[in-house]
Amino acid sequence: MSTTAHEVRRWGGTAGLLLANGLVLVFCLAPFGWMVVSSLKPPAEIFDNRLLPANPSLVNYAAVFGSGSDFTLALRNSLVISASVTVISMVIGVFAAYALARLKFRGRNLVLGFFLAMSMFPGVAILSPVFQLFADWGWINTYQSMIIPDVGFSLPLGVWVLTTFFAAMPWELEAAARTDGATPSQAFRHVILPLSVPGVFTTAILVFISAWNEFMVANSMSQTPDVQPVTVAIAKFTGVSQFDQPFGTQMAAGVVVTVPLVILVLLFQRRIISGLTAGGVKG
Amino acid sequence: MTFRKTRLAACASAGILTMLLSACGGGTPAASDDSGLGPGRGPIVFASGKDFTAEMNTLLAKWNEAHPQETVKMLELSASPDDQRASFVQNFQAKSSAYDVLWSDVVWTSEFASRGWLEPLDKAALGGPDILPTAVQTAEYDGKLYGAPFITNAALLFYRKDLVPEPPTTWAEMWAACDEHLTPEMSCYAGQFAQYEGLTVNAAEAVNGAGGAFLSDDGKTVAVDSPEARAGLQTLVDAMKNGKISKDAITYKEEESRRAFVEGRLMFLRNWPYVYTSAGAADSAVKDKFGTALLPGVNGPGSSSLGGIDLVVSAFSKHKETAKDWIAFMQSEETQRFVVAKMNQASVRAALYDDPELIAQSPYLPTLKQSLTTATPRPRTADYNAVTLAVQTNAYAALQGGKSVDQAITDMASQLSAAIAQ
Amino acid sequence: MGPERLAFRLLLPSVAVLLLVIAYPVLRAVYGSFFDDRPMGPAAFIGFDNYARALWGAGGADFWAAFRVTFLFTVVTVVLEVLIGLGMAAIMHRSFRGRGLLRASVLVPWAIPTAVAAVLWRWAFDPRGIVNHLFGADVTWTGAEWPSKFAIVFADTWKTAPFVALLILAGLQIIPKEVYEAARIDGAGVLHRFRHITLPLVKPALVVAVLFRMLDALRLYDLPAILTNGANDTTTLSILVVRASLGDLKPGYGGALSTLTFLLIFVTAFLFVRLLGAGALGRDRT
Repeated sequence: MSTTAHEVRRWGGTAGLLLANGLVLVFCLAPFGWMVVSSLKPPAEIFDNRLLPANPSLVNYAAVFGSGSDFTLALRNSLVISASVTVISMVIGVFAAYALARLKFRGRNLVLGFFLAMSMFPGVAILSPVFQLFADWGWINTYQSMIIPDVGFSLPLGVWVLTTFFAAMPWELEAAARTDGATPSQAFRHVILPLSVPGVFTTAILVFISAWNEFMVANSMSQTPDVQPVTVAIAKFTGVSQFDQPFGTQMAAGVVVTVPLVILVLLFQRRIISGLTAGGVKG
Repeated sequence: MTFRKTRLAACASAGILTMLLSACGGGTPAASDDSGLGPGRGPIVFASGKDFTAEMNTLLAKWNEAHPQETVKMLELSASPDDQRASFVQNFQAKSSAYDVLWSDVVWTSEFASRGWLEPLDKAALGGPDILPTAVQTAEYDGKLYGAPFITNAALLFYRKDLVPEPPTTWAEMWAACDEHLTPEMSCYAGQFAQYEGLTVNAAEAVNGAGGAFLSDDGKTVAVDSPEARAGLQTLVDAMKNGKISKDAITYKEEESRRAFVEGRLMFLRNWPYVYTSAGAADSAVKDKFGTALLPGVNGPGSSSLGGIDLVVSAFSKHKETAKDWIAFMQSEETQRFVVAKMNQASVRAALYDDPELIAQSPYLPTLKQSLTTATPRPRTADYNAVTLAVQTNAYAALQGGKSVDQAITDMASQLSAAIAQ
Repeated sequence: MGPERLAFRLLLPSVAVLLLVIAYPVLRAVYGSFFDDRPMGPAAFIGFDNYARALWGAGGADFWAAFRVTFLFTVVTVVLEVLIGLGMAAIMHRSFRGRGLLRASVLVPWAIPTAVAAVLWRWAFDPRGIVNHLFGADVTWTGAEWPSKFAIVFADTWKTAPFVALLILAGLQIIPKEVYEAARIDGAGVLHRFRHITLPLVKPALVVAVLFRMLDALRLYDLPAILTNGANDTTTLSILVVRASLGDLKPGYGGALSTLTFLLIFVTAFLFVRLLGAGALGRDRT
């Protein structure tokens, strides 16, 4: 009897979980689905509110990659910028978070407060002085003029999240490795880092995506297509006149920049997690 | 507690950093004038708005072939005017010479000129009698010329000639025509009434058409607190209240209103000439069923607001002489003909509106010429952005019914005087 | 090497970047806020006049209206995002089949560039858009006060609840399974397990997620700018700052507005950390 009750409960739990899964998927994906559907409609039908395109067409995608468009180039630029931002932020962020979570030093709370305060100013107030500074340095229209501000935008979140995760680690393991003769850096890399992979990985995704979606700085700093990222390229899409909002093209571009990102995350998720975990076990 | 200390620490370290930076910041490379062309000449950069037809390249190629040492490179900016303006402002504030010639919306020219960002131009060298005087006005500030009008724009009244054989010339005639001919699925009239620059344009037309104005001609005093301005705004508010303007129109920008007309949901539409092409296209519900006329007014046709683009030369340009030659080239008869024929834009040259060949291509040109010659520029003031915001927010509140027309005009007047006072 | 010196070296790169691209520009903006905005010629020092103008002068009405709506948006969106984010994280944590797919799907709203998402919502909330069509409604979403606010809150929640969910999920993943198993054997119910085991353990991640969501929500700009352009009482503090600095070309006044915004955010974050987040970052070592 108790077995049956248990099974019923489990079955009910599974069904509930499935339902909950479904709800999450609908909530997250329905608007995106509408974006995909809209992107497949030819201009004449774009506002017809049909849930499926009557005459599916790739004309919007052709417009995204069409002649005179530098979208492929823009994708490459976005990749370079976002990857650099992620790598730099994560490396120096891990250093900082290690210090904040692990080391005893005066002013720790001050430093944490400083990182937080750096996320409290409206972005536009920062823009003009940075532009003038970079203009003096001859940095306008370079990758670094976008990468370094983006690193600045992502570090506060990155450092705080990493500090939280590092603080929750079982540091006794690290101490044990140290007594076994490992240097602090070895102990950290082989013991703590593998354990904090979910946190590090999540932070990296969040940083990558915010860099990928950054527009304000990029719009000011980049002037030619050879350094412009996708957000700036999308802002240049137009219809046949200055009043025409190229909704279909913008939606197609949105799909084009979002889907690879998600696939990338899926792939990396497996690779990185399995890779690092394996390394950790071996080390 | 801890946070306050943090800020102090941050301030101190940033102060040190500032000193380091000013010590290590390199200077900008000096202008090289080894070309032998004389001062102020050499390659220039033209920061352009979106080139919708990709025909600008033809103009560039032609110029660059004739001027191999003074080539023009075009940088196409974001399609959104706000983004374009932000990019210009950043460069001006940094005194950057990256942009030599800029594509300035007619309402920006005064703002830029008043801040010393633009090079004054020689009235004699640019334009001449054929350039539409209303377009030239947009480029003038404090008695000096700061831009070369490149393209202009004025509104037309699109109407359903299959339902209304004679277009109305006054608001009263237009409402009467709707009472008589409107079908149930249509609404009478729409312009652009969302809270953005388009609402300023529409409100200005209603106010100007009734004999009122927002500011005096020199932009230095507030003129809106008048019975005429109230009457003008009242026209739109009444139409909104009694359903002559549909309630959806409070969200309309150019495109939403164009769609309503092209899908056959509107009897009368106030919009720019660009609607003509899509309304006449094969998939339009109103193909061969529409005509163009002047905007309605109180006792006769009204007065359109003026749109368009001025080409301006940056005060920080290193090659100003070449820049001036380029904008003169862009204003030349030949280029302007190309602008109408290939780029589908409204020329600043009056004679082209009488050209039979161009009229055959764009039959609305004679009406547009009338609309342009009777148009009223939007207020020309160094504080245009604050001025348009005062107009938009109060006109919007009145249209929505949140404020009476009287209150909206009173508030507008006080906000306008605050805006131009600083 | 002593811990202080090591800490200094480890912190140096991050702090240097932040001083360069955030602190230095911020200080320039703050410095500039004490000067007037005359169009030509050197600006004059005017003390706190720009602040007075924003707080009780000509800009007072706008500032306090923006203050109210910004805090309204922040409270509503952060609460919704935490509830939805917690739910999403719990579901993702418990699902094993298709977990990767679920995680990727949850990422989608956050991965869509903000400007594109805002355009999507602008057309979806058009009077003739898909939202009215699906629900058979006839609402001018972006043309009236509360529908506009609803649209902005909805679009923001949709876009950023995944951010909260992912951070909480990461927090959940580092909770050792044994802790759960032990509790299950003890016969603890779902709610009990959540309140007494899960919540305390994910609290640090949750506090960080809420903190940073709060900082972002208090600086909300894109959605109201694109959906309503600030109409219908949706002008946030950031919209005011952009309007003053870039629109009206008044960097001094804009600097004052952004300093005030900073101070408000600072106080809010400070209170939040004091009230809810004490000990959030593990052992407090000072």
